[in-house]
Amino acid sequence: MKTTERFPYPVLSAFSDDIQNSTFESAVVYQADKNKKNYCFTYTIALHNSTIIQLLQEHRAVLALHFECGRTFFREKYQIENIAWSDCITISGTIEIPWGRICGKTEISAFVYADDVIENYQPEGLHPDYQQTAFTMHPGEILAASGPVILDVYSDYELIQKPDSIIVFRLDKERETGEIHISLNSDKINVFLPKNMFDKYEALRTDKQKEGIITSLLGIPVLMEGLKFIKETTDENLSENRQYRWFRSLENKLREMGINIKNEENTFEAAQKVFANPYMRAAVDFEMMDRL
Amino acid sequence: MKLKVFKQESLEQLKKDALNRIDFYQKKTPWLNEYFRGGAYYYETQINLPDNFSLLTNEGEPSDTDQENSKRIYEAFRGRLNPVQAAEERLWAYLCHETFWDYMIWRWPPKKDGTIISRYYFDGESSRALSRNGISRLWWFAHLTYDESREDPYELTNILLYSQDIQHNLLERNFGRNRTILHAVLDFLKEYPDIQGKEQYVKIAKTLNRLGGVRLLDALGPEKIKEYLKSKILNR
Repeated sequence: MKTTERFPYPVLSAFSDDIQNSTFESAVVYQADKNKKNYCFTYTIALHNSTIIQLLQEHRAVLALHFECGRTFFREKYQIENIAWSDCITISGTIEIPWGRICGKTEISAFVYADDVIENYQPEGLHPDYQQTAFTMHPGEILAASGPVILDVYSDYELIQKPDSIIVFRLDKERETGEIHISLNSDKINVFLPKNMFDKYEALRTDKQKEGIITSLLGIPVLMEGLKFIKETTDENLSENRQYRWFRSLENKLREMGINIKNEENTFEAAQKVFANPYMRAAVDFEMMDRL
Repeated sequence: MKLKVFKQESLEQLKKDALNRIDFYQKKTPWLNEYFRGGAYYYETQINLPDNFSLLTNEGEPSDTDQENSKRIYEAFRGRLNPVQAAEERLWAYLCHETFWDYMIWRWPPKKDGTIISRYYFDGESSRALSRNGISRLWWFAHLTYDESREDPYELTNILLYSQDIQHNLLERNFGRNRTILHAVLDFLKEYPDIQGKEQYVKIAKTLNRLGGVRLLDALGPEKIKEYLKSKILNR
């Protein structure tokens, strides 16, 4: 949820200096719990402002995390309670949301809002420009805001055990001959082969012995294009690109293998690792074919 | 009947080709087999749809059937579909093109403008696409308004679909994603049935948007939201 950055009252936030020498910050990460089929969102919230902390202690204000998933009409707030009080509080915890409720881009914001009418609200650190004005806060009005943190939430990713799981070879109906074309803007990486080549590829594919050879010949360069795409993805277009299943699968595979593609000088070596030494497997397949 | 969904690559191919193959969209019977020339373009899921299930067609104004059809779709899928599955374009686009083709060409006659993409597929990734697709919209209208605690659990569905302008103004704004807010507004419309017409519905939506600019709407209970609407819309 994106909040306006101009409120008719002071708000403790990173986007304004209404309230000074104070802090309200949040961080959220998530993990997919495959057993419970839940997303576990782990949050850490830091709050440093004595007036707001006191209002929370008196239950006149509420601390909450707000989740919004634009794809599944999901918009809920989760109230955070059982806080251990001190002058400066750091709160950590977990919120679980079932897999079936949210998917894709999810915005998470932290708020402290008034739960009651608060007369004479004059928070500690109020900017001098306010000239010690006292505000009357109404229920729902925001005392502190942080975020949103935007996470791309997915539970599904296919294990990359063989190239077919992320790459699909398709007939290019419009061309009889020519080069192989590639499209990365789908759930699988689409490789379009002109008709004469596609027929030969299909015939080869029926022979399991030749699968390793095909992987080396066609799969590796295609995978390198995919890796290059991930490597060149900027923070601005990360959400958009994560819509593609192949992108998420490959990202997860790289993470599992401890490969940071951004730091890899070339994608050729990473591609060989992802497909588990395909050139050696191809060589073995050639040897087997020679023996038969 | 096992529910079927498009294979992703088949959906992409069909969608890309849709506006060039308007001839297929003029047909009176489903045509996917003919288009894909017998190729495997769908998966069968483990979700069952009742065999004798159908949607109302040919009864007065097409939009007048939305209330009944929304209930029929939701009942048919009840307990079988979660919101993430119900946000799958592969599912709804298949139902639009095959299972409910008769209904679709009656309710949303295909035209060579945005209609085919927005009504037969998903136009974009956001929840707006869900409330526009010809079949998914029916499920989502009921899902967002179904309330088991009421004598008629579909009472709010009927209010939402009393006029297309209501669902348009409520569900295409972010606050409409919150069930408490949405139900409070529909309850308000139930309590004050004289509030009618596009202008009034736009006014309600704008009023809530303005309030949401300075307050966390989600933090207000249904009574506070209704009170606020009463003061701003009815000046009471």
